[in-house]
Amino acid sequence: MIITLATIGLWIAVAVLAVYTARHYFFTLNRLFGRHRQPYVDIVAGEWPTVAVFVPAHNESAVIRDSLDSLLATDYPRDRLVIVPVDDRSSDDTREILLDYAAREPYRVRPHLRDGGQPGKAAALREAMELHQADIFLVFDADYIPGPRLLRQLAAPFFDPEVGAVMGRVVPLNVGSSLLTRLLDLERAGGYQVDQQARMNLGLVPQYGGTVGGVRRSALRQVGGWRVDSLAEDTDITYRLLMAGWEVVYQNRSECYEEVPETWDVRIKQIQRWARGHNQVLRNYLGRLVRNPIRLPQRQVIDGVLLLGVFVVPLVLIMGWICAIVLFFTGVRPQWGPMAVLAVSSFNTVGNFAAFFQVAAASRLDGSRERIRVLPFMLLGFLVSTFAVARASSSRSSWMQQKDVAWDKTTRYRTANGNGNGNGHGNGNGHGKAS
Amino acid sequence: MAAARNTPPGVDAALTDASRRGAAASAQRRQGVQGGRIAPHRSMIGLRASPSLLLDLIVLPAILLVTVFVLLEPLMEAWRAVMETLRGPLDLGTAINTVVVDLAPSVAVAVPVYNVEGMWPSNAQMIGSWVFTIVLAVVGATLRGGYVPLGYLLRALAIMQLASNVWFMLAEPPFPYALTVYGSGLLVTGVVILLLAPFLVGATFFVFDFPLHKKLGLSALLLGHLAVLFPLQATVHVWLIKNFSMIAMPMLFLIFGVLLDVFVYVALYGWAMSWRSGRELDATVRRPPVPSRRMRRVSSTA
Repeated sequence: MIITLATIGLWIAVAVLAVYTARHYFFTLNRLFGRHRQPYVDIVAGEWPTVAVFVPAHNESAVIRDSLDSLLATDYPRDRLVIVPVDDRSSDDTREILLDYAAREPYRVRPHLRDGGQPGKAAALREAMELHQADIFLVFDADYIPGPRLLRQLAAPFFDPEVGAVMGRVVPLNVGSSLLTRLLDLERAGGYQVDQQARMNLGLVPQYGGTVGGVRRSALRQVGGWRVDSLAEDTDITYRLLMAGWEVVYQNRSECYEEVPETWDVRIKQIQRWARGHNQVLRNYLGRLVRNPIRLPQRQVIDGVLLLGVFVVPLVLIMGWICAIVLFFTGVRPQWGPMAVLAVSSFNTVGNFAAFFQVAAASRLDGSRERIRVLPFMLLGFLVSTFAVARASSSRSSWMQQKDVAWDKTTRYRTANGNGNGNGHGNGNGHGKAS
Repeated sequence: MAAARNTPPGVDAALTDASRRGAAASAQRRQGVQGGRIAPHRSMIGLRASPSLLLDLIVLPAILLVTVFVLLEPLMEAWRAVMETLRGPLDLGTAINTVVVDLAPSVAVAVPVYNVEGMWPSNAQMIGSWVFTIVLAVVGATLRGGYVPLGYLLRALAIMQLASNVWFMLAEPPFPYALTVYGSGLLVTGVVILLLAPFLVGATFFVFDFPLHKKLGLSALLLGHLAVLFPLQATVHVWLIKNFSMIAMPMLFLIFGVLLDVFVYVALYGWAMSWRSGRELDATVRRPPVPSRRMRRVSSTA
């Protein structure tokens, strides 16, 4: 009985991992050799829509000045842009900073100050957005530093009436701070440069990542606005827009810099939060996506399901390891002798290697030649992620409806005078999720 | 074709001229004021599939595979010589045996193998294994800061060893695997990996626009490294199991077996991917503004 269960478990794990391995290879080859679909990147002139840029902030005094300065320096038409920093119960001097900017730029900076209501990024965004009538709502986290042309680039896809959301690329700023930041730089490169762009090329499901991107106000209203009970409001809105027939667009050319976690504790907390939020979305929308009531193309359904499952894969992987250990101790011999050895060896070599191939290809495309040398250390990153995500994915909070969603903010490393310990330079990189 | 027949005289030539001018203009758009090449943005860069790439993907791995096949027999002799040299000093049996393994119909390989028996763990070895497990777990749990990933690795090893301890406490001899079979299995897997390696390199490295000598260079590095590693890896495994009993086998097999071999490739691959290709892949790497030969040619024809 145990042997049968372990055998079935092992084959399921191998099958699931084989599917994701094939996905890695396919996306990487598409990104390398496929036709790049970047249909909106050449739009530089037009009747630009009105844009409201929301910057949710909770105790962000160390970084928010840089972000607001950068937003004010963008080349988006002044009469069509309003910047809405949303202060949600900060206990530092974030609020004073916002009021200072509002006094200096009263027409362009209109802070939204919260002292009550449900805490959390989604609730803050929902409340603030209900007070604004701009055509397009863009969102930047408070530590992000947009370049001068970024807002136009992100607004351009919305000239297409089918586009409901747009996502730009997130590039780590503090790459050289630690081994972890270097590994995250490689991971982000694989996630954005290859994964997101391949999905865009293939007409699959590029993911809106909650920052360096935005949504069309009418689309957001149509799908019911932000879910305040969601830990991953970005993934949640991606799927609701998808299932309402809206396009989500990824713009690889539209880069914005961010701080990535510099310590493993912060990283573990971050990825566990993503895992719990993502799994909630899986629970909420998997059934409807598979039933496919609006007849989405099959390729989008398959990609959507695979994307929903990414944070369950570590659980499957650990199940596979346990089954392999059980079978090893029970002395079960392969049924087909050398062919089984060949199959297992093939999977172990080529299969295990797929993610490294994707990351190396992405970094190489980025011109980050020498950074690829830390590739073997990604094993350590995978190990930590696997156990951290498995723990989050097996927790009750990963699958149950959330009642209280609070701010779970990633630690910032820059200091208020603008100096951080990051020494990144403008050739960094990006993973399907931002901070 | 019908459209071509109806084309008025002179239009073909005009189209050709326009096409040439278009190509020249396109080339000039990528040329900097000092004659250097304006690098495309990294979001736009990609590679081109070409017949020569197809050859690289099919012919090179095939040549490497045939080479490995041809060298298998001398390689097995070399492995035997290495193992024979190490056998005496490490006290690994009285002779090196041979196991003939059929890899495929009419393809057999004579793999050398140590003739050593692994023992069921004694009480002292069981206690030693428990102490080892506890040390792994405690050290793994106490590592902080930048050592957190190492802590995760140690804890994973501790769980693996814990499973072994529990199994050997509850089970009765014999262990399902004889040490001779285990040792030969490692080397047979090594042979299979050597045969697969050309395809692995083909699928993951030959797809890029590296020059031929760099593609062959990584292949030679990988095959050479693995060819040296496998008999040494098998020797270390057999020596550890002989001296610390069969309780060491599960961790060695599951963690320090094929997984280790894969990471040899990951390490070499990471290094090789940092080499310059001299072609499209280097386009986003910052370079001094020196006009390329191709660019000079296009400029002069324009």
